[in-house]
Amino acid sequence: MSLSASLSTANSSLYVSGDRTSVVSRNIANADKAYYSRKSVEVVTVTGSGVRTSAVVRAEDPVLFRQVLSSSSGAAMHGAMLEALNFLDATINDPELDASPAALINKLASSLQTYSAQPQSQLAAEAAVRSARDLADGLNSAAATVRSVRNDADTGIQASVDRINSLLSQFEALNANIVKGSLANADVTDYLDQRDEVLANLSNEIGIRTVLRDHNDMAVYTDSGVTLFDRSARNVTFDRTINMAPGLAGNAVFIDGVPVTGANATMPAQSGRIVGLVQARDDIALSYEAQLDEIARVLVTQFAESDQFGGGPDVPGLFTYSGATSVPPDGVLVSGMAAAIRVNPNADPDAGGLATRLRDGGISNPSVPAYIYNVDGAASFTDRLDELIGKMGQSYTFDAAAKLATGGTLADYSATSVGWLQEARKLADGNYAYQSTLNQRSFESFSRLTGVNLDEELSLMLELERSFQTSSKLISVIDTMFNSLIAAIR
Amino acid sequence: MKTTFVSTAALTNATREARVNLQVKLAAAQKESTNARHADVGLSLGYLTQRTVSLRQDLERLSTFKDSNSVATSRLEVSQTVLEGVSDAAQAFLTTLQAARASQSSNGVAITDAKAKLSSFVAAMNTAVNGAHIFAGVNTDVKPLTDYFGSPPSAGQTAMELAFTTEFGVAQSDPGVETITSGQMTAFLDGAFADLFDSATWTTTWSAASDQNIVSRITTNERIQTSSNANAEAFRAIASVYTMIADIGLESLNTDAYHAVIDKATAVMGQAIGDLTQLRAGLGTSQERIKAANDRIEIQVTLMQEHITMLEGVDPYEATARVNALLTQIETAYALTARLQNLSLINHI
Repeated sequence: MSLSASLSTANSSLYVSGDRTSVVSRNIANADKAYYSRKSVEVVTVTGSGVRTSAVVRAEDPVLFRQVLSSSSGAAMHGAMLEALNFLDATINDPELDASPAALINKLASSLQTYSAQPQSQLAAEAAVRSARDLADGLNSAAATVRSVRNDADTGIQASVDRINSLLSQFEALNANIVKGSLANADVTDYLDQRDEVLANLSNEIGIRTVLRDHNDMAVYTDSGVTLFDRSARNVTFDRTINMAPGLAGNAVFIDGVPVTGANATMPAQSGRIVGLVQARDDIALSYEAQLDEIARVLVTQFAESDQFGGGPDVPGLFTYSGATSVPPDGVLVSGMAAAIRVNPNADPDAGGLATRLRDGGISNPSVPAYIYNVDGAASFTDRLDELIGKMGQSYTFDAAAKLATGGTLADYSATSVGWLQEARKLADGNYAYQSTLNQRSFESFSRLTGVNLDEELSLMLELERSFQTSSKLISVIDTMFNSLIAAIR
Repeated sequence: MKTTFVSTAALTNATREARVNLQVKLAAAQKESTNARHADVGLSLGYLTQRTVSLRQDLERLSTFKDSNSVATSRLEVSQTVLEGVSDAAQAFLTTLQAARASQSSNGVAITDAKAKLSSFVAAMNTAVNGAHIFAGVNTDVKPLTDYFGSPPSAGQTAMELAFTTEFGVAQSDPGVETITSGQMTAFLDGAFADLFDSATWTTTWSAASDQNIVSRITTNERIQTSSNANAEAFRAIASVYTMIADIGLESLNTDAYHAVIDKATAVMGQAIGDLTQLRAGLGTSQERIKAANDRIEIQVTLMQEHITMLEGVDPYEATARVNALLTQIETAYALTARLQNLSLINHI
């Protein structure tokens, strides 16, 4: 042991203190960043000559991080579905408001009943036709809502795909830096944090699995196993539809040419915003649209006029649709009917028609006598009105494609449709609440274990200050000792 | 080396999230405590929303039935009042006929009475409620009967004249009617005269009403007749009696023929009053059924409202209690946040 050895040991302590102080200040500066992990300096003892820093390490918890990723995918998926369902709920709203197609159908039945009680009343006739128009308008606007939900979802998928591509290219750059830095033994911890953040954002868009390899290299797969990143980023493509056609599923998302959504996907993605949006676009909205279309189709059938002389086909009466030539066949879904249904202008007083044709028949074509029910023109003729009221209470066959019971009255069917949507909404809300809570909790646990505690850093700084002061004092003591030695020699 | 058990970010985030969650819950609880209904009915009920929508549908249908039944009820009530008047007049006319039978010289009184009763009968049959003629069957937009002694002469009067002159070769006002025997008169009254008032001739000469009565749906699956029409047999018979006395040239008939007419009139009127009573009983049955239907609807409406409240409602007291609890929690969260804010080592060195 010599004084110069002591001096160099004290010196090494100063260096280490400096290094550690710089890490502490890095920690304090980044304390509020979500994915910043707490850094610490590994200090090793060098035999006989003090201490040195070996590497900067970061606090990690891969298990919790995986949970953060998977729960954020789940929350994003259910969130996207819930959002679509809440938009669709605008077609129903609070049952008290009586704004749903179900309520409008019932209003029509009621006003027909009122009209049949005073069939001579022009006002009652007009009121009945007006409620028919309200119903047609209601179905039209519900169909428009469905269409805009589908269009929004499609736009959302495009945005999500763009984001995935941009995140993957960021990931590629970060991963390259990490591998290069790890090979050179450089401090890559900040890059690792950034890469984690990119992964967290990516898992929002689509469910992912990661595999860590040598030199901190990472490969990313979707939760269904399709490669998103392996040495290089794969291309995610999607062909956006500007205006979704009724009854048709939208385009699929492709990763590296492999479909991951839609009916043709062999390895369909399981979670993430994209999956939620595709479900909203093709599953929820399409089913609800089919239900509205079925309601519209049955309305056309119910109000159709039949040939009073016999032999001729039924023709659309009060309710018709653009381009109508005949009554649509029973039990078969006609996509786009809800958007096309309207009240026949021949019965609409505002369009120059006669509301009383509702009582008398001949709405389809007033000049064809075969479709006129009230042959004598009696003012209190109720047979036709009563037939219509009866038909509104009859059972009809509905297409199974709409995912509801295939038989029942129109009123029941429309009420079931409301129930279907609200149940889907309740389910999505429950799932979303669960997944987002899970996500919050996992992130909280993750951040609790890997994040920075300012008090901790502060106390560490005090410790470092003391160590620095002591080392400095030591150097000055050694200096004094050297001085007294040199003074003795002089 | 993991020495940190809680990070500063986790600490502050926890209270932030708690605050947001509590505030969302508070908004819902506040709405529920004021409305006594779920803040978001669809979300709270799920598939059960179908039930409340169905119940609301039924409720509205039933209320509509109540409203539309009131239209039928008022028509029936007016019909009953009018028919009561017609029946009373017919009863009174029987007395007139008895007096006329006793002394032929008082035939002028009978004729005047018959003319007056005929025109009030026509007016009664033409009664309109809300612009609808209640005795016109389904042809509510036309007056069922025209005034017999109107000008120009009604189709009924012309047909009567024609039938009389065809039968006896003279008009009713001709003094020649004195030679008609009681046998001839009875034959005429039972033959050509009766034919004037049979259903087929009546609807072409006298009446523009439809044989079809108004049929109303009073509940979802009950349809009943809620009017009568001027073509009913009782009305035709009453009209025939008044016409008989008023326009058969009674003043110039010989005593036998005179008695034959009066006797016929008395017999027909007696029968007509019986028929009219039956007709009124039929309408009364309809009134009874509507009343019964309305009573049932009343009960159902109450039940359905209860069901809807059961499904959609929340206990407002419970909701208020929840608001209070949430307010306390939020206040605690605020206090905690403030305390955490001050909790830093930096304040102590």
